[in-house]
Amino acid sequence: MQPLGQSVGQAAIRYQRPPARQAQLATVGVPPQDQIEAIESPLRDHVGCVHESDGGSFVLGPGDVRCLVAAEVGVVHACEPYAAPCCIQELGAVRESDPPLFPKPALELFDPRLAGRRGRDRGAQVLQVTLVGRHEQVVGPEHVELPQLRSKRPERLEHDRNASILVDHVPGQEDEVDRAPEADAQGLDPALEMSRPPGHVRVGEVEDRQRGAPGADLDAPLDQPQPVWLQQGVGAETRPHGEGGARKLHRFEHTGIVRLSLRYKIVGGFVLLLSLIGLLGWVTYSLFGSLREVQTRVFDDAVPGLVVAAEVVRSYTAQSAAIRGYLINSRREQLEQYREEVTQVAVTESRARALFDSPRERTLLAELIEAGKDFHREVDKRVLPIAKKGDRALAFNRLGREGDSAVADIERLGQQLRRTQDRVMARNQRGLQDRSAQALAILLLVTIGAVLIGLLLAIVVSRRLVQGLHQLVDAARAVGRGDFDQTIDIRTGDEVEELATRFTEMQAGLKRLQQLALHDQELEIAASIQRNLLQKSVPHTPEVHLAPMQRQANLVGGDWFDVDSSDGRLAIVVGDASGKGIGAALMATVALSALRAERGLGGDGRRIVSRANRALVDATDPESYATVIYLDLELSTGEATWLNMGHPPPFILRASGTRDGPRGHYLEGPRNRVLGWFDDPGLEQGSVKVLPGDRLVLYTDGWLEAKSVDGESFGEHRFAEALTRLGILGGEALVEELVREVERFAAGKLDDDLTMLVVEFLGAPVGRAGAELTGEEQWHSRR
Amino acid sequence: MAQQKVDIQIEEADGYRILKPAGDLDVYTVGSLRDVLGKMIEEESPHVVVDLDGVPFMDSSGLGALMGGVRRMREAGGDLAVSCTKEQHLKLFSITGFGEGVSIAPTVEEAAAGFRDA
Repeated sequence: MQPLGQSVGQAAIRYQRPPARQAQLATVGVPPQDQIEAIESPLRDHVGCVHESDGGSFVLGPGDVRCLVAAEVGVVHACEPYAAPCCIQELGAVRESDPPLFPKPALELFDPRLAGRRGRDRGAQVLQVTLVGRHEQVVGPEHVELPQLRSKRPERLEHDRNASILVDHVPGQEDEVDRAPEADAQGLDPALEMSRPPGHVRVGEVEDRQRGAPGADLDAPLDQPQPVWLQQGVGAETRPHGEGGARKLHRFEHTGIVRLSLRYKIVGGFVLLLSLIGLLGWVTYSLFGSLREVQTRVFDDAVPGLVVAAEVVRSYTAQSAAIRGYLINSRREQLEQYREEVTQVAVTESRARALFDSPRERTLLAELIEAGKDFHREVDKRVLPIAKKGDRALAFNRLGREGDSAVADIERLGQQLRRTQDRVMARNQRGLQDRSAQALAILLLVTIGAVLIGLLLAIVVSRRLVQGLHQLVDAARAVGRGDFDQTIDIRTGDEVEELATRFTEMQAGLKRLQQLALHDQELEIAASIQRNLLQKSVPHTPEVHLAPMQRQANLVGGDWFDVDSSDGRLAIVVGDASGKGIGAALMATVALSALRAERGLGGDGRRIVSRANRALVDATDPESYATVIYLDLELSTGEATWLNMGHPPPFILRASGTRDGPRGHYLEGPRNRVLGWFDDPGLEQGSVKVLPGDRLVLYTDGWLEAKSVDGESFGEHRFAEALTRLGILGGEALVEELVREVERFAAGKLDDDLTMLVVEFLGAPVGRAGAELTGEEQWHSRR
Repeated sequence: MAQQKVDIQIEEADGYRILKPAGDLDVYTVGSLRDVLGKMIEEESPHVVVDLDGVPFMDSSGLGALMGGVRRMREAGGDLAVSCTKEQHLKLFSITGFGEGVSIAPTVEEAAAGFRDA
């Protein structure tokens, strides 16, 4: 952003210190002007532009000394500096910068109490601004680094109503700046702040009398100092001071819904979906783990148990067979086979101990092993020694009696063990089936749940998005039809709401543009009507030369002149309706029409003006009036009579002035009151004898009220002096030169209409009085 | 364009109110005065003295607002008087004849003394 002082001419002028401030600087003895400038010049870049559309906007700035603000309607709603009153100065439109810095009317906030302060004192002042309205945007630098002051502002403010913001601080004082002590230090009572009426700003105090804006408490005692409230904004609401008021510096508060960007919403949706998929994966993994556990139990425990049980039984059967063979055949190989089986069954039994872990299995296994040991004892201690002694038949009988019963026990126990393993196997298979069914069910449920949640999310999010967009589409269509009033209510707290906010602003802007266009159109029509009513040319007569001039400040104006020549008389009206713009133009039109109509009915000037006044009093509002000069000039004699109805007096430029004295003077005749307000405005006439060569100057107050840049009016004295000085010129040249002179005085800025009619009396032709005209009179007139 | 405002302080006196506009009273600012006068009538306190010493400039719109105020106040059974010492305004009153129908005085008290009886 360009430095304001360089880019905006009008604003730069406003930045010059007011006299009061300079006086203050002088009394407190602060450093020289250039040092103060060095500190304050960065502040001038610190400009807040606020755009709004529906009910007031706000202003904030560095909070230290001053800030400039662009605003449109309802401007500063409530501006409370921390402890001092704040002056609000209207700048009007500032358009000089390129590109336009303030395309709209701007305000300047200026706190006179802070003007002379430095350092900590100044920084401790906090400008608190209450925002009202839904559509605000701050455009400006986020930070401004100053030698002793750092200010910060948000790039964008929230759209909530009643948001508050505190700006400005001195580093180190962020946290504990208390309002009340500061207010006390300023001599202000915080309690008074609490009593501030809504929509008012305190602008000062009075000591002896109570003051207040409309609605203030007028019953309070008169002898106490009372705050003065200045009403700000129109029709907007204000949060009462102290209601959740911001106290911390650099803290931003808003009271609306939580803001969540659309981006985060979408990302959040994806994260949720991914979480669901992750959950699904985890459940699946857990179920497969459980199934594998069951499988492990089947294949690692039950099946080997069966095998081992069978192997033990088989081994003992084989041992029994090998011993029998040995006893019958006496072959040593069969004895060795028995020994080998005994070794192997020991290994198998030890494996079986590791496999069987239930008490029942262990008991059966122990019994089986014990039966095996009995068998081995019988064989090794009885059967084989008997066989070695040679009594093989006795050994065989012994084996058949004792050994077979042991082997039968072993087979029985082995059978029981296998049954237990069969049961374990069957149980595990059932478990496996159950687990599989459960896994499928859980998987199905989780999948359905995830799909439902996903669908729900998709429906809700898309519906919210689409709802908002539908509203926007409808509103856009309405705009296309020329309807700018369609309300958009989107509170999603995301970019769609942002879009809606901007769209609403655009609606308001378009509506305003339409209204302006309509207004311009109406203004054009009004101007056309007025142009047709106003006299386009003046009548030419041999006796007078008329030099008219009319310049309107706007498209329509409140000034007019009207000249009528009949019956050897010239009736001249120069009028000025009160106000400006269309209101004044209407009043002027009504007054002009009334005077013309009454003149048409005949009668002298008094009767005409009196009847026209009556008509205007009845027809116009009490604030409207018109000032008029009604002048009758008898062409044959130069006798002029006039009625001054609240108008600036006519001026007469005599052709033959004295050598030293002025050649012109105001015609200070009797003065009457304005038309359109008084029942009896007075009808006293003035009269003057106009000599050939004399000029009557009729004009409106725009000439006298032209203002210089210093605010000084052009005034009657300058006007009379200029007329007299320029009197040497002819009528038209005189008027042109006078316009130039007034323009120079006002530096080209004339706010009011300018109207002038110079009536130069040339003199009656010879033989004019009472004679028929011959057509040669003009050659005999006296110039 | 937003309506510009003129600061108007209101004081209470014995039986009437005193309006003290501070700033130019012209076509751009006169709405504020008009609004305040309207409220005075609504609040049934139609006796008002307008102190013009804080008004550096007043044009025909400002005068129109005063004249309209007088008319409306009188219709409501009250009156509007003007306290003014500024030559420029007094001249405007004199030229237009406004001063002949309305109480205009240098001080508020004198102006209030000239209230027309209802």
